[in-house]
Amino acid sequence: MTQHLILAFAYVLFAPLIGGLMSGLDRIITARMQGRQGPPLLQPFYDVFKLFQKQNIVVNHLQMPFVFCHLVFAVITGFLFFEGSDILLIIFVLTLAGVFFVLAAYSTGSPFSAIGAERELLLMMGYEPMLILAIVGMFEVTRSFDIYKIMESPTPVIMFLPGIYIGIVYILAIKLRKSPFDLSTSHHGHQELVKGLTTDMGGTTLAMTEIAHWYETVFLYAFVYLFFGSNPFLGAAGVIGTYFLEILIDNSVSRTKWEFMLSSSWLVALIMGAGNLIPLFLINRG
Amino acid sequence: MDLPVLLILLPLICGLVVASIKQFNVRKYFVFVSSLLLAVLSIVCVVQTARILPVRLSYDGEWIKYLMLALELGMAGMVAFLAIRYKNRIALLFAIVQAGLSIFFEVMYGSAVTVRADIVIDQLTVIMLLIVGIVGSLIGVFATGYMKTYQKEYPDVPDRRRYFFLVLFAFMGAMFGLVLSNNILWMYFFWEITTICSFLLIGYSRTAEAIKNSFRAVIMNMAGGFAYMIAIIVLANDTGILEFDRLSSITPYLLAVPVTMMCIAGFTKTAQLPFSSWLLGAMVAPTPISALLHSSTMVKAGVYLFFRLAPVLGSTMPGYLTAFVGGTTFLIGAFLAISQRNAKRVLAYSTISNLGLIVACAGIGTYQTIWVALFLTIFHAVAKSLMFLTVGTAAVGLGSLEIEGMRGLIIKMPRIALMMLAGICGMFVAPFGMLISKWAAMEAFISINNVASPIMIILIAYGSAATIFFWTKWMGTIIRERNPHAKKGLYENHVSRPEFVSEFILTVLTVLTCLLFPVISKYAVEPYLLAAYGHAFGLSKSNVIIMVMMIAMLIVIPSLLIAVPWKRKSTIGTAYMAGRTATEDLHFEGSAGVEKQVLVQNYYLTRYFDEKKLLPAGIIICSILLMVMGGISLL
Repeated sequence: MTQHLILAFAYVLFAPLIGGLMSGLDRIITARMQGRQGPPLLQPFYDVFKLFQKQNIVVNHLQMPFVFCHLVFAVITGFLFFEGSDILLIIFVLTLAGVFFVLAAYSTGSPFSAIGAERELLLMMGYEPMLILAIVGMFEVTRSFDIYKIMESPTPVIMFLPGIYIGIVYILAIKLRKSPFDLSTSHHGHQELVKGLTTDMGGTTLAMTEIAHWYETVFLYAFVYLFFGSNPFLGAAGVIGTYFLEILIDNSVSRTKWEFMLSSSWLVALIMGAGNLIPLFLINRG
Repeated sequence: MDLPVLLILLPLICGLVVASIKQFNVRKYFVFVSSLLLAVLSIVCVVQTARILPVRLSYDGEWIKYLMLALELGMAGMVAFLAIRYKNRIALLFAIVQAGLSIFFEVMYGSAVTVRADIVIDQLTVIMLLIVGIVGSLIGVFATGYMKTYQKEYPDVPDRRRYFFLVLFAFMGAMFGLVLSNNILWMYFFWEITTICSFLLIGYSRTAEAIKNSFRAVIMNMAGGFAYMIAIIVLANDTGILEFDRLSSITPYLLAVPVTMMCIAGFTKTAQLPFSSWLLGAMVAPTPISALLHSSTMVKAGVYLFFRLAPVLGSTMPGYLTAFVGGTTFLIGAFLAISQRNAKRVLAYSTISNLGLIVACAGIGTYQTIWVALFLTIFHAVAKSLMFLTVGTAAVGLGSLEIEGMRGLIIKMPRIALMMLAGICGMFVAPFGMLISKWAAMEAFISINNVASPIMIILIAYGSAATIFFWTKWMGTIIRERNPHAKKGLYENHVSRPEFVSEFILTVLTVLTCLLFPVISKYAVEPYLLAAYGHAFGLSKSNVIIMVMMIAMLIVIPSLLIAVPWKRKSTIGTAYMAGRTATEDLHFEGSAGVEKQVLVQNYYLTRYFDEKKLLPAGIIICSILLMVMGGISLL
């Protein structure tokens, strides 16, 4: 129990560090895939520090509180996860964090932020069913919503949930804001929605969204770890493999329209998620 | 006179007194006093019986039976009269059939049936009494202020406010009677009164549309009443038992037909597919009526019936089919709420969807799902009435019922907007009420040992994703703070005090039920489950602590941040407009030198969540399920 608490606090302290490094590594790998040198590993940290030094310009009085809540609930999501709370509950907290981010963008009233906010909502609607089905699948295999119990499973959970794992990889691209699903924000300000959700954020506010994203990244890969978790080496391999896979997908496909995103992610949840879940239920309870 | 009878009759007396007063200013105070009286009386009834639950009362006397029959015939006569006046044949037919069935029953079985307890008060009754008494009264208070503006706004609508309050209070009395009844015949009597009251209230404005929709409501609900009556006749004929608490002593074989029939009656009242259209049609009525139908009366009558049936529905074929009807309605209702532009229609579909989940839980009928269903009922009653009232007030101020029209409500009507936000949070944000229940529903469905389990989970997974979309969109529209220097609260001055007070109390109640749900669970819900199912169910302590802490954080952090003077440190700039010079409220100079304003609207995804396609699909699916249900019961 105390171990779990220590881990949870370690997450609060070190997740930004790990998340930032992952982001830096991501940028280097991406650059190499594109035949570029790429920025230094610590570039994401330089960016965020610089953002903190800038003057904080906001568009209204609500933006900053909402972004702050987004950060706080992103931290709580991971904290509860490592502390060993019910993961189904944790998914709802994750959604709550997302809702705050959307509200921050909505509050500005600017056209680009608003489109970003709408699209982000569509993305949330897209990934939610798959996440829930994944957790139900894990429960069905291990009879528990506790991550530590799930990791104790003698055979890795992925052996029972191959379809669900594929579904998770699919929606992970959404949650990590990767192409083809970087509909609501983009890395490049010259595109059709400028910077989407974050168009009207600057300085400290923007830095907070970046940190929240690092926290979420670490949480999401920790979630991926659960699929392989019975063996730490396998788990590490699984997470690293998924990480590369996501970068590869990011670099090899172009952005889709939201229609495709929504219908495809719901279809994936239905085929890969429900298609995996129903046979599992039937076999388990026959 | 004992308390339950007083509870049934007092609202009617109050209604008559209120209706007898002509001057608005005097009548207003009588409504306040009556509402307070009813709320207090329901609380007194709960406090008095709290230690001795369940209380069982029986009332002898042939005269009660004949009085009820006479009133039933009177109501049928009234419907028949209105049906002839407005030339509605189907309604007339139902009125005649129903009157005939009532007489037939009385002649054939009237003396054959003995009832041990006409009224049973248990924890479930207590919860429902409080919902009806408190939420219903607050809506009454709200109506005094709202209806005054309503009459001003629609000068063509004849001022029938005295009649309005009479029906409103009678409605509450019928609801009290309905939730107190253990005698199935008594419940039928009150059931029919709620049908008639809703019929009269929906048609309040007497416009062509209101009349059409009120007849649709009465036809569907009388069809439900017809199914209910068949269930009574079959029960009386086969078993001679007409009491809810003795249903489980009947052999399941004999129960198939009556239970199926009562479920169909329940589907009509709870506006499940394929019967959902009456509740949407009911939106033509003034807002307090919508609030009443959606939160504390009418649909809750159907829900209550399902609660009483749940012990005999669990792990039976009709039970699973009921759950599928509920689950399908949950999903389709949530999808349809996405594509609605009218705020009241969004609320209506969200009600249908939430009721679907409650019905699904009752159909599964295990102690866990009943725990969930009860909490859904409580949270829904409080949060949904708050939503309706604030939407009503906002619509009067803004002159529009569209979601788009509420853009920047936080500036225009800051207090109303905050209360509306509280209501929306209550409806879907973790860890507020509804979400606690959805989460618990999922955990409950997982533990069913049946193929129904994954199907229900899939329905919930998709449905709750849709829920996030339409609620967050709404919240986002309210908080759009276009011009931070604009003067606040310009539209809020007209809001009358009764409206504001009732909304404020409901806001407090929404937050309190969320914070105190462990207490409600421990003292009301768990004892009920223990008595009815032999098992208690509660969330684990650590989860409860986390949730209560999170609710506290959700309230404290934003209010602190909004209050604390961090703003002084930040500069306020204008939104990004692709380099165009723009004013603070986003006016910019267009290409031909014409000044334009940016207009951003929400997504409604009408191409994908099309009412014209999805609704028929849902109706077909649920009709097939109903037919299967009927077929199986006859086998």
